[in-house]
Amino acid sequence: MKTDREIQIDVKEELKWESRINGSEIQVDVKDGFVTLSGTIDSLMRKKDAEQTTIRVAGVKGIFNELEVKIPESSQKADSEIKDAILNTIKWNSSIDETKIRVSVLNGKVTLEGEVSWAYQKSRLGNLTADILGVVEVINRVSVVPDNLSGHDAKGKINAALKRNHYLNTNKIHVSVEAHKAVLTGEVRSVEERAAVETIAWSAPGINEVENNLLVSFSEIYI
Amino acid sequence: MRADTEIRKDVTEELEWEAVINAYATKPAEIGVAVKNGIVTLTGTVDKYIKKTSAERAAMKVTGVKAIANDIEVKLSDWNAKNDTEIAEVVLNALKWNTSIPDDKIKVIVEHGWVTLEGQVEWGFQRDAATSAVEYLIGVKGINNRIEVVSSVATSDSVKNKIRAAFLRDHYLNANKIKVELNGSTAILKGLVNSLPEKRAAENAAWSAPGISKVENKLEVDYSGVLI
Repeated sequence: MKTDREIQIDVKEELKWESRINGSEIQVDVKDGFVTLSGTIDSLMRKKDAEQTTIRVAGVKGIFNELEVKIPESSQKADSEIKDAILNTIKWNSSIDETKIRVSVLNGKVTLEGEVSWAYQKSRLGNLTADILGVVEVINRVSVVPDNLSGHDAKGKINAALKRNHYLNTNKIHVSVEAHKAVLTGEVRSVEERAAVETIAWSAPGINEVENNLLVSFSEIYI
Repeated sequence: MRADTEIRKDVTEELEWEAVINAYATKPAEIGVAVKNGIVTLTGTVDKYIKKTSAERAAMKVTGVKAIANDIEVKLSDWNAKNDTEIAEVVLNALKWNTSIPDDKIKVIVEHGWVTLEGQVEWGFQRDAATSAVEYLIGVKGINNRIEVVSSVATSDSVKNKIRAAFLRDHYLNANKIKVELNGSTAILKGLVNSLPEKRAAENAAWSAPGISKVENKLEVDYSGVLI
């Protein structure tokens, strides 16, 4: 097992290394493998990048991202401009039906509401919005309402998809499905793996809710 | 070594599973999959460019895949066919509002739905962000990203060690089997990795090195060390 101090050094190095965020002053604290990032950063996308960068580091069990987004004056935008840019982005997106999405912006804080048919569309909406200049925070309240909830054998399909994925060690992952909800239990080897399993469960036909109870255990790779 | 027939079956199932390819489709996507010695060739037609790139990313996840030749053709349906002027405006707007792309550095040329991006940026991720910002747009049939990465700092030999240290920190990479060489501002990666996503992760890590303007990724994918 890596010590908290070792993890802290590696996370700091990795943040310094990553070109997306180098130059940002990020405070890193670690307790029992859980990393807290704090300080200020100049865009919401860079805040997410800091999190993704931290996740890569061996030994990290979880992340509390407390970075505050402070947009430099030169990139600040009016709420109405931000809203137009988001609406335009959604409208020109070839895989999202914009007529069902509502956008509101207050002091750079964006709320997304409405309905999509697939979970990937919800996450894509969130990501596209976070990458727009001037956005400080995204509250993604879009609900996933599958066109067709009659998908059968969601459990079997999720298990098969997990097996096909090269990175996942599926032996310790258990999937159960009740009505349209998938419940994930068991152990995975990293925070990234935990998220990857959830994404796969969301992709199953007929699923509109995922409960992710997976625990991250590093014991296997660090003995 | 996995048999080509097994790889083909998994890639086919992964494509059927991938939501971006199948959402709103009235009939299953017509993507052909051929595999020879772990090299996957994708053929057929799709109605959006994002489906073509998503198919490639989906295939990349499958164990045993060593490389992908993406010969899928994009045939836009009537509703998403736009004229080149409209596309150019939308592309410029998408680049302008993107937090990762510096202002006024990228030139856009659109011809029959094909978008060519030119210009110079400081970092590799900025060049890649341009592709990500454009690939999902309505009307786009293909992207030719010719943006050059020109770093304002000089590389030094210590960069090799720094790249290696970055590999060591990453829990997905097995750094012992990767060799880093430096030729001017070009980083050359040689050796073995365990999968295609790992090959890409190594390349991304190398792009973060100060002063790097090109990464030659000569890593070979070797699945033999992986339990299947």
